Order: sequence, then structure tokens, then C-alpha cells
Amino acid sequence: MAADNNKILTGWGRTAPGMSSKLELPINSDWPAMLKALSSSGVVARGLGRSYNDAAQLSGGSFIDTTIWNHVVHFDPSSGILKVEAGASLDQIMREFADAGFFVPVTPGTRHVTIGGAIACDVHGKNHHKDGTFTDHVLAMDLATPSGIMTLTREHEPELFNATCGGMGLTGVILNATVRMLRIESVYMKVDTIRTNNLDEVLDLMESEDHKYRYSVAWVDSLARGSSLGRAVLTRGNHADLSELEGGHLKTPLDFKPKTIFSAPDIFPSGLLNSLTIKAFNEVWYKKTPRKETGAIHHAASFFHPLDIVGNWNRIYGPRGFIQYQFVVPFGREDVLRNSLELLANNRAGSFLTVLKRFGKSNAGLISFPMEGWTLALDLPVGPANLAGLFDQLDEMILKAGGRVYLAKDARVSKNKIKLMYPHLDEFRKILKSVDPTRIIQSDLSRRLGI
Amino acid sequence: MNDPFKKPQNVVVLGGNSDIAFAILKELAKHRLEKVVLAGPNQTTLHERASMVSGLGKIEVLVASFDATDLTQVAAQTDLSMSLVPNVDLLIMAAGILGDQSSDESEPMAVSRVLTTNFTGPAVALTAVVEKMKKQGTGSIIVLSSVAGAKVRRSNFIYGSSKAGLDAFALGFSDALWDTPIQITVVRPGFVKTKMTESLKTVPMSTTPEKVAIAALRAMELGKDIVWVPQSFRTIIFGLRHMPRSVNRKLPF
Repeated sequence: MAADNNKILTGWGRTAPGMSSKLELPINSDWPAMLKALSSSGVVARGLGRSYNDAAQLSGGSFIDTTIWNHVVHFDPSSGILKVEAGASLDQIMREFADAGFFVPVTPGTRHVTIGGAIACDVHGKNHHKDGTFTDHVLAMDLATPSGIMTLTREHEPELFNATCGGMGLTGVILNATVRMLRIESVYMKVDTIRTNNLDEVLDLMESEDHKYRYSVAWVDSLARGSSLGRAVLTRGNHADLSELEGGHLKTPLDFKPKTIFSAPDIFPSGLLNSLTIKAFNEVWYKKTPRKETGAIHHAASFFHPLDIVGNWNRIYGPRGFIQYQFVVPFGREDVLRNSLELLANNRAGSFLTVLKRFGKSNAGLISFPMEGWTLALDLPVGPANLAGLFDQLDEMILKAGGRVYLAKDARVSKNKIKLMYPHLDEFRKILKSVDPTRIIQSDLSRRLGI
Repeated sequence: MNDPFKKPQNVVVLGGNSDIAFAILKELAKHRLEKVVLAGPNQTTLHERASMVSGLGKIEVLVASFDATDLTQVAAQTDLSMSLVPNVDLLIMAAGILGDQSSDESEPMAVSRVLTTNFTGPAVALTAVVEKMKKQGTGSIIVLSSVAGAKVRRSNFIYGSSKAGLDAFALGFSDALWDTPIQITVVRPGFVKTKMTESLKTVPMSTTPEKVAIAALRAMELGKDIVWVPQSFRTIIFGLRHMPRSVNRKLPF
């Protein structure tokens, strides 16, 4: 492999770097032969590198850059069914299909993920309680494996389909997918925002009112303590119909051209985001929100992807990077939410963006993350000496409550715990063995967790 | 694999009988340590050490040969030791002897033995380590240096100069690898109470292997290339370096 193809890779969290050799291969390659030729070093597919840690890198091995496969294969405007190559990003798809009145069925907090990545991580959005995960809207995909290229649907090859949805890219290289798009009248959202004084208030509100909204998510002040523990800003919304728009919005209801106004330079020191600055930010963020606002019209880009307005926002954490940590616990285990927020607040471990959401039912994805319950996402800058231990304590609490952590964000959970959190892991491994007997496709994540 | 806190799963120790290396392993065993290779010249003491390490938790320990004075074999022994685990997340360079300054300074072969064990052998081994880590695309290295090498003094200049050489070599390598995922942390402890120093009388500001271990791992986690233990030695050595030689050579320590 030519040395100049060597790239230092990390996930979006910018921790645990590794060197891998970049491969740009045509989408119509002779995949079984190509993959077998890589058997000594191993290989993994990588899209836009938005998974937080080591899922899309293979240190000492190769990675296939999928972002060069970004063509629309077919679109049927009558049904909204789109067949697209796996390296296309949700950003590209939103821009291309908004005019025609279509939106992606599920979007995570950034548009800059590929279709392949969205399937491999089985991403979810603010609408999980209504619409499930991204793969719940995937009808078919083509998967390249060492034993051949397979077309997967729920009817044909259901086992491999379910292993691939949320399978962290380990079942093969996803080449394209057929997705059912969502029909919209406008790219505007009708949004209700409400500020709650503590955790109980926000949990009650979400429980009683989430069903009225397609999208619902709460931002939590991770450093508020005592009676304000878990105070939050709850944002809920639906796609706005034309009848709900007025003025300028009505002139261009399907205009989706969001801009990045600023790209963060790589100059921020580690430690700039610490418990003091995060506390100050949280205070401002909480206080600037109106106590209650209903029916506000927001553009979809600012509603779904507020962070995308700053390019490379991960750089503000400095060179040491940060840890994203997301877990889910079943309904009834609200105590874990409270205890984990208490643990962080009492240890002055400030999470910069803390997000709380209710998940609906899980899907058939063998190691897909979402399951019915509460999910809390935290992000903490690497640096404080007690952080590794705090995360270990969180793992323990979550495991005991029958919950699990999200592999697309995981960086450090132990092998023993991951086995217990994902009971279908053995079955998943068996499927991997059947399509890739020598395990050519692997990642730093699969090696770290023994998957 | 390493995690963002640089808590390794697989560790190789060159100089596997080192008390400081053991203290580091003991600390790592609290996290996700799985496999350890202890490499050194004396298989009997290594096996004793190996059972101490496996007693730290569910850890698989392997023993290998590594003789820093055998310069024709050092690179091959390093490669072999590293090949015993799937990915070397952390390599601890702990080979070293103290020697006996007062008798060694009139014995050419004794000087050769200290310099080879503490500098030449480890430098050759580190070169092999880095080559291997480049292939695996990642890895961390802890090099046990010494305050004695940061300012070489009359009272132990043989050991001191050997550590000065290793220290400079490792930092040079660290610079060469600065923009790669391979990271080198040079640890400069003061007087550490270990089996190596048990014949010497304890001096003020002495430290313990446990404290050195914690400081070394924390420095590695934060991506620092030098760590002094205790930290105050940084200032003290800075002072000594700026004193006239006529004063320095009369120092009682």
C-alpha cells in the first residue's frame, strides 16, 4: 500500500487515533476478490467519520472511502422511494429532494452522515417515538461481502438484513440502499418550546405529551444540582403545513439551502470547555429560552441540526477530544437518569450537550441500539482524572437497570459488559462468520470489544 | 486497543521484572488490561513476576526473553515479545540497572554493561518497537528514564549518562512521531524505593513505584511527552543546571 494513502483517523470525538490506509474503489468492483485480497490487513468502510469513536477505522489496516459513491440510482416521486448509493450524505439528499417535497424519514443531530453510516449505526432522531430508526425506513440494500454481493430485504435474507441494520459496518460494505422518503409541504417546523424547573417536570411532560408531536427532544443542564437537578429545555415540533406558514416562508416553502457560517479552526486548547465554562454556557442557554413558546416557525435545518452551522465544531474541545456517551434504560428506571445526572453534577463533570429523549419500540436489528425507554446522551471533554472511573460507574448503573450504551458513540465500555448489554451478540458473530469466515471486515471497535 | 483514556488492553514490558512496571500494570489492571507480556533476561524471576501480575485480575500473562546487553538479539527479541499479543497498545521500556558508581568508574567493562543495559540496548529495542507500532498504526510507549539523566552529577554519572542518552533518544523519537498516533511518554522519577535501590539509603523527596505509575499513566492520558515524579524535580533540576560547574561538582548527592 502506498505510504501516502496512510491517514490518521479518529471518530468525531477526536480520541484514540489510528493509522489506516485509504482505498478508493469503484462501486462496481469485483467485491469478493477485492475483499479477499485485503485479508491480511483487514478492511472497514468509512463514510463521513461522524461516528464518535473507533467504529470506522482499522489501525494498521485499510479503509474504503465510501463518500465517492454518492449518486442517486433511482427516485420515484409518486411513492417517494429513493434508491441511492451508500456514500451519499443526508445533507445532499435533503438539498436534492426538498424542492420535490420530500425529506429524510429520520435524521440524527447532524446532516453530515452517509446513508451507509446511517444504516450501520441504525441512527435515530427526535422522532424515534413515532417513526423508529433510520433502518425502519430502509426497504432494501446491496451488501458486498467476501462471499458475494447480496441484495438484502426483510423478506429475502432477513437475518443478514437485521444484522446489517445497526451492525456497525461489520457484515460487509453497504453499496446502496432503497429508502422510503417522507413527504412534506414545507421545510419549516412548527415548534413548541418549554423550560422546565427540574427533571421530574420534563419527564412528566414528555410522557404525557410526546404523542402529540412527531419530534421531541430535551436539552438538559447537566450541572444544575439540588432542586434544579435535570432542569431542561424541551423542544417539540411537527412539519409545518402550507396553511401554517405566512409571509416570506410561504414564498419559498421548500427552500433547503442551509449554510455553514463558520468553520472552527484547530486552535482551541484542551480544557477550554471545563465545568466552569460549561456551567456558564448552560446558565445562559437555559435562561435565554422563553419559559414557554408555542407555534414558533423554525427552518428544519436549525431545528434538526443546530450544530451544523459551525463546521468542525468538535475542535472546540481541543486536541484531547471528547467522549460522547449515550445510554438507554427501560421506562420505570427514571432513577438511573436522576442518579447519572447527580453523579456527574456532584463530581463537577460537566456535559456540554446533554440530550434526553424517549425511545419507542426497538426494531429487529440484532445489535441495534434503541429500545423502548429513556435515552440520555452526554458529551464530556477528555481531561479530568476522574472521568474514566465515572463512566465505569455509569456503565454499571445502566447494565443493572437492563439498559445499554450506543456503540456508535462508545469508546471505552468493557467486553464483559457489552456482552450483557447486547444479548444477541453471539448470534451476530455467527452471522459474521457465515458471510466473512476469516473476518476480513473488522474495525478498531470490533477488535476492542471482541465482536 | 487503547481507549480515549489510554487504558490499554494489551501491554508488553521490556525489563519485565521492574518494580515500577509492575506498579503500572497494577494500576492498569483496575481498568481493561487483558494480556501482558513480560520480557527480560532472567526467566526464573520473570515467572515469579508473572504470577504476581496474573494475581491482579483476569489477566493472561506471557513470558519472553529480552536481554538488553545482547545487541545482536535485542531487535529480534523485541519483535517476538510484541508478536505474542494481537495489538501492542502500550509498551513499557523498563530495562535498566543501577550499577555501582564507585567501583564501576574504574572498570571499563562495568561501564559498558551499564551503558548497554540502560541506553544502547533500549535504544535498539525502541527502534524495533516503533517500526512495529507504525505497522499496527497505533500504540503508546512509556520509557522509564530518571532525574539522574536530566542533570548528570558526579555521584552517579555512569547511570546518569546512560539515562541521559536514553532520555534524549526517546524524546527525539517522540518528536519524530509527533504527528502520528504513536505516542512516547518519558518518565523521570527521582529516588524510587524499589529493589533496584534497596542497597542505597533513602534520600529526601524519595517516591514510590505506585506514585510513579499514577503520574506516568496520567501523563500518557494527557498526551504529555515528559513527566517528573515528583513534579518539583522539574524546578530543582532547572536550578542545578544553572549553577556553575564548580558548585555542582561539590554537591553532596
